[in-house]
Order: sequence, then C-alpha cells, then structure tokens
Amino acid sequence: MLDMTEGESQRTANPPLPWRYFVAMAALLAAVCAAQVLEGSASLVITILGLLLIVALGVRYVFYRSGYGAVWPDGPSVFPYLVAGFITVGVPAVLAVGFAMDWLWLVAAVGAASATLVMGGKYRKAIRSRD
Amino acid sequence: MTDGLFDELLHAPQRLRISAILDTASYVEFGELQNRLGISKSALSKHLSQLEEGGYVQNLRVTVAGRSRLRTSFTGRGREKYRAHKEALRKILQTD
Repeated sequence: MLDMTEGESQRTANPPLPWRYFVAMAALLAAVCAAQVLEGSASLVITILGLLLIVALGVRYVFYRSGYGAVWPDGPSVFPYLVAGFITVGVPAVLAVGFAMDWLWLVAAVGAASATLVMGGKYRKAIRSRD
Repeated sequence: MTDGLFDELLHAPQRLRISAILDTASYVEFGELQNRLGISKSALSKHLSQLEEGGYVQNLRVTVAGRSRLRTSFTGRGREKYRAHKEALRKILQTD
C-alpha cells in the first residue's frame, strides 16, 4: 500500500517527458550561456527571452501541465539535476565572471546542453523502467 | 499505536491512489484521474463523492475554453488525514 502511494506521488511529480523537451531545454540553456559573450542589448534580450522560455517549458510540461494544478517538485529526484547543472554551468559561469574570461561562457553553454541531454536520457530511462 | 491515524475511508486502494495523486498537486482534473486509475467514470465519481462527503476533497466545476471540467483537490483536513494514514501504515509495517 505504501509502495503504491509512493508510486502515484512519483508519477505525479515526475511525468514522462518527450525528447523534444530536453532538446529544447538544452538549446535554450546553451543559448542563454552563449549569449553572455555578446555585447550590447542582444545579450540581454536573448538572456531574458531564453530564461522566460525555460520557465514556460517547465511549467507547460511539468509544474502546471494539462490536467493538473500546481505540481510540487520532487526534491530527491530533482537534486542530481541541480548538482549536474551547478557543476557544468555554475562553475564555468562563476569563473567567467570572476576572472573576466568570457570564453568560459561557451564552456558553460556546452556543459549545460550536454548535462541536460545526458540527464534527460537518464530521466527517460528511469521513467520507462518505473512505468 | 495507530489509533486515530488509520483511516478506513482512505484505505480502499483506489481512494488511496487518488489521495496520493492529490497530495502532490494543488488539483487534478477528473479526466486525468480517470486516465491514471484506469477505472470507469461512474466508479471514479463514486469514490470522489465518498471522499467529498467525508470532507476530504472538494470538487469544483470550471469551464475552460468552453468545456466543463471537474477539478478535485484535497481539503486541509483531507491532506492531514491522508498523511496521518500513511504514517499509520508505516508504523504497522515497522511493527510487523
């Protein structure tokens, strides 16, 4: 009975997600990171637009998807993704800002896209074996 | 040990599944619940009515894009009862 309730909570918090979701997220994260090397308003526009689209995708596919109200994130499941994101994006980003090495934003862009696709693959595999 | 926590109304498998789904979201629509549980409309309606009569859930009919939808959400009492029931199940498992 407890396993059943945990399973239903998991299915609600962690829905099956199509590949296009992770591909779009990877592209958007990479675009936001890469935009930091641009100068002028182009960087700002791409960053704001990219972040808005990232939030919109998350809302549309997970947190406020069709048939549900607000869905609470599953902390333990999300944690590995946050750690991967912090390492692949956060570290190069902090170094890029701290040492004024703009090229590191490109490393962050590649890292963000790679981490999203790899973690997306792992997520989809976990969901397939669960369901 | 679990007196007052174990809840007969929630313990029915389908109502327990409904509760687990509702505990993770602010509301769930009828069609989605039916899809998740794989039961008939009448069976789901009966479960939801029982939960509503017990004060565990509230059902709200809304119109979205011209279509009527039934949204079900936990009441504060319902969420509390469900979590207490889960705790009771854990205690039963621990003592076995």
